[in-house]
Amino acid sequence: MLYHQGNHREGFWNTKNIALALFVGASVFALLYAPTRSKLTNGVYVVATGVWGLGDATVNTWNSFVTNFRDKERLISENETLVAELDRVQAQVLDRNLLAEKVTKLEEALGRVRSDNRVVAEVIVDHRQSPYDTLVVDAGENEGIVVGNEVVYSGSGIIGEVIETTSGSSKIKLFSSPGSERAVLVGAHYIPANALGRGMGNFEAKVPEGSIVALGDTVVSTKGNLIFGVISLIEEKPAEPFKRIFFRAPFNTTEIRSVEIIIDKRS
Amino acid sequence: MRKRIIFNLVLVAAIFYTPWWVVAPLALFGAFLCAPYYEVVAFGVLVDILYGASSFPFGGVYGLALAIAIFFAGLYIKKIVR
Repeated sequence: MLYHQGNHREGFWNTKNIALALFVGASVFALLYAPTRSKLTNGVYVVATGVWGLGDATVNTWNSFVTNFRDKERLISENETLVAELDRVQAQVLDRNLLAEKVTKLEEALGRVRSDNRVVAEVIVDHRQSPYDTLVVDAGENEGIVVGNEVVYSGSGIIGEVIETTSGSSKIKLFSSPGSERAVLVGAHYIPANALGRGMGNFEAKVPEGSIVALGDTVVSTKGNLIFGVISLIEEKPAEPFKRIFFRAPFNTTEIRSVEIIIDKRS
Repeated sequence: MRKRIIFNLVLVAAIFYTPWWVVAPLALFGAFLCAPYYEVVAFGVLVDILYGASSFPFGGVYGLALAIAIFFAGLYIKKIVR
């Protein structure tokens, strides 16, 4: 019996399993020790960005090939719809620019001009692909991006922060990732609260009972008034001394194709 | 051996181009098909390097942890199916 147990142990601890255990140990060390992890990431990303680029190029080639076989009339109608949409968006942008000009003039009059430097980056990897709910973008240390920079979508919607950079790419953690927490200001009265990520652009926060909040109120960041989301549900229970508010980003996070990274904020 | 190499290539492509919830069952299938599937541990490390960061809870080693679980699950499934 004793002989059998010893033999079984020897069976498990064969050369391959010992090599595996050593590899796991070395990997854990490499991943937990920041300088090693950073070097590994830099090395892997030299190849990875090329692989992702190849995937994009293949998809684009396939799409242009398929377009040749699509119905001509359908393409014309789609084109007309897109032109109409573009006109509408251009009008909105014009309106927004006028508003931005007014705000700047008001800030100048109050002696408080706010400006920040932004780097526009294309999304290489969608957050649905990552088990960590992270985005990978094509701008990094070469563009002046550092860990902790805030990431904005569509001008004023804050979506996350940079958590890792390489020379030509950055990883972005979304604030709406499950478990992620961030200080925010709720509603017209700027009630301070902690926004808890609920995934896919959704958040939850608690404000004291009696706080004046309403559906459709905006939730903004504590610095820079960047929009986190719009309140879509308010839950109030008599037994709880607070109101539970649920809000979501005013855009679909799965459709984010490019972002702006604030690299130097002055306020 | 050829089956193993082809499966490794498919899994690497899946890591780069498909969502994680496609990669995980595929890796489990590989762990069953090619048990003991040692390569899955390296793929777990690759996932952590590509998508994770040390600022995540537990040092951002979810990929490695899941890969080890898949490795042993593959061995176990193979054993009970045999």
